[in-house]
Amino acid sequence: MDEIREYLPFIIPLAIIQFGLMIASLVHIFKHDKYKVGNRALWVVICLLVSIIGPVAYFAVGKEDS
Amino acid sequence: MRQLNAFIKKEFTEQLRSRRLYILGAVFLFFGIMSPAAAKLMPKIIELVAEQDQSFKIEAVKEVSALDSFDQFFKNVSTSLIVFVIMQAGIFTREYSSGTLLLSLTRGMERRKVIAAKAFTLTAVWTACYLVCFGTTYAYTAYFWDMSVVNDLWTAVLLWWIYGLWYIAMIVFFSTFLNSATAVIVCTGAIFLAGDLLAMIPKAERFIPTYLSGSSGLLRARDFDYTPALVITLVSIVLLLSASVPMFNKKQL
Amino acid sequence: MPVLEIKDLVKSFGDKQVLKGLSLTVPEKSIFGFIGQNGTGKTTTMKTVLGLLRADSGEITVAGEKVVYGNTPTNRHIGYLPDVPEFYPFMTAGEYLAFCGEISGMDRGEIRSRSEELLEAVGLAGEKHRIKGYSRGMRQRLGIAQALLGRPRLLICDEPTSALDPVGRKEILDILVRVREETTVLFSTHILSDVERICTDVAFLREGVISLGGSLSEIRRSYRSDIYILEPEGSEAAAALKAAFPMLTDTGSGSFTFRDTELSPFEVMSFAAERKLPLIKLERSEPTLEDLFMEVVGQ
Repeated sequence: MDEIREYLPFIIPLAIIQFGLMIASLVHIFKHDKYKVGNRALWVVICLLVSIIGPVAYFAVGKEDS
Repeated sequence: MRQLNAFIKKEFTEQLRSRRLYILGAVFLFFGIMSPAAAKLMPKIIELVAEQDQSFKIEAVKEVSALDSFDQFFKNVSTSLIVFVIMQAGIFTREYSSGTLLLSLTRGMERRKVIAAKAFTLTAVWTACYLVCFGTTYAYTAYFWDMSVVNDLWTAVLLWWIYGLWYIAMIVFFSTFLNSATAVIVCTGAIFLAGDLLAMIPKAERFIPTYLSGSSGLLRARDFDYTPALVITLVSIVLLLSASVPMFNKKQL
Repeated sequence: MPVLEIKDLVKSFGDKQVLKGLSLTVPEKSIFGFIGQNGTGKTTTMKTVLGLLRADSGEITVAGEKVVYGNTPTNRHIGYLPDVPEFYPFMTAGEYLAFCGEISGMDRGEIRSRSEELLEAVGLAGEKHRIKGYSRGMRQRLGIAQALLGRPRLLICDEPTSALDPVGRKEILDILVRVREETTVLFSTHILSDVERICTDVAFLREGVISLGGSLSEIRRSYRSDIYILEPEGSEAAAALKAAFPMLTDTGSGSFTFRDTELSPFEVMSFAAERKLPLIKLERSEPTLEDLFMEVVGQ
C-alpha cells in the first residue's frame, strides 16, 4: 500500500491526462462524421486501446482541419 | 506592425480553437511527468527482471538520482518534438489547400510577414510546451532527489530548446515550396536521418545539429564540445528562414 | 476615367494561350457582366487584374494606376470575392471582418462600424457561429461583406452565383444591385439570366478576346436583327407560307420564326393578305441575351 502511495503523485496526473485526452478525442469523434483518414469505428478503437498516442494520433492525422 | 499583430493573433486563435495547443500541452505535460516516474520505477523494473531471469546478475543496483530523471527527460522530449512537428507541419500547407491565404494576400498582407507571424507562433508554442515539459520534470526531480549531483543543467536545457528551433525553421522553409503537410514531415524527417547518418563519421559528428540532442552529456560534466554544432545550427536556422522569404514570394498560390 | 482598363492582355499557361489580346473597359458605377463559358479565361483575367498572375504582355490600369505583379498597390481600390471564398473556419464572421480590417490597415473604429453595417447588409448580423458551419450562400455573402470592407472603388466577383440555389442566387444579385450605389461591380458568370437581371454593361469573352462588349442597351440596339414569330391557322396556310418562304424555321409547334434580316415582315403580311391566309399572330420578340450570345458565338 505504501508503495502505491509513493507513486500516486505520478499516477494521478498521468491518469488525468490519459483519460482527458481519451474523452476529448471520443467526444470529437462522435461529434463529427468525416475524418481525414480512417472511419469512426477505427478511431474509437484506437483512442480506447492505445493510451496517449491513440488520441494524439487522432487529433494529428484523423481529425478534419476545419 | 498591425498586420503582423493581427496575423499572429489569428494564428493563436487557430492554435487554441483547433485544440492543437491543448493536445500539445497535454503531450508535453505527460512526458514531463513520465520522465521522473520512469526514473523512480527503474530499480523496481530491474528487480522484476532479475527475479524472473536468474541469469540476470545485478552487479550493483545503483541509487536512482536526479541525473536519471533528467536523462529520461531528454529522451522523452525528442518524442514530444516529433509530435510537435507532426501536429504543426500543416501550418502553411493548410492555408494553401483551403485557399484562405489568398484573400489575406489580396488585401495587401505582406508575404514576409506571413512567414514571420507563423515562425513566431511556432516558436512561442514550442517554447511554452518545452517549458511545461521541463518545468514539470524539474519540479518532480527537485522534490524527490538531490539536485547537487547535476552539473550543467541549464546549458543542456537551452541547447535542446535551440535544437527544437532548428526543426521549426525546417517546417517554415519546406512549407514555402511544398504543398502538403505530409511532404513537409517527410522532408524534415529526411534531414534528421541524413544528420544521423553523417554523424556516423566520427570527425563530422560534432558539427551536425543533431549533436545538440545529446546535450544531456553536460549533466555529468562530460567533455561535450557543443560550440561547432551550436554555431552551425544557429547559422542554418538563419539561412533557412531568410531563404524562405524569397522562396515564398515566388510561390504561386 | 474608367475604374478598370485592360489593354491587349496576353497570358499563356505552358503552350496554351488563354488570353490573346483581351481589351476591356469598365466604366465607373456600372454593373459589369463578364460572360464566358467555363475555361475561357475569366478567372485568369481577374487574377491578373489582382496581381496574382503575371501577364505575358498587355497593360492593366485600376483607377488610372498600373497593376504590377505581386503586391500591387492597386489592390487597395479593389474588393475581391473569389469563386469559392475560403475563410478561416475557426473564426466568426465578425472576427474575420475585424482581421481583414486590421491587415488592410483600417482605422479601428471604422472597422467596427463598417463591419456591423456590412453584416447587416448581407444578412449575417448577430451570427455568432463559427464560419465552418456556414452554408455556401452564407459564405458567399460573407465574401461580399469582406470584399466591400475597405469601401473599394471596384468590386470583383468571380462567379458569385454559380454554386448557389435560386434563392441564394437572388440574394446575391440583390446585394450586388444595392452595392452599385457606392461602387462599381465587375462579375464573371456563365449564367446569362443573372446578367440580364442586373447588368448595365457586358463583355463576352470568347477564344481569348472580347468578342462583344459595351453597354447592354447599346448592344441590344445594334444587334437588332429581331426575331419574328409567325403562327398561321391551319396546316394549309402553314404549308403555303413555308412553300413561299423557305427561310422560315419550323418550331415544331405549328409556328415559324424568322429574322428580319432574311425576310421582311411586311412581305409576309402582304402575302398572307393576298392569299387570304388566316394568321393567329405575327409577333416581334425582343432578342434575349442568349440570342445575342448565340449570334456572337455563331451558332
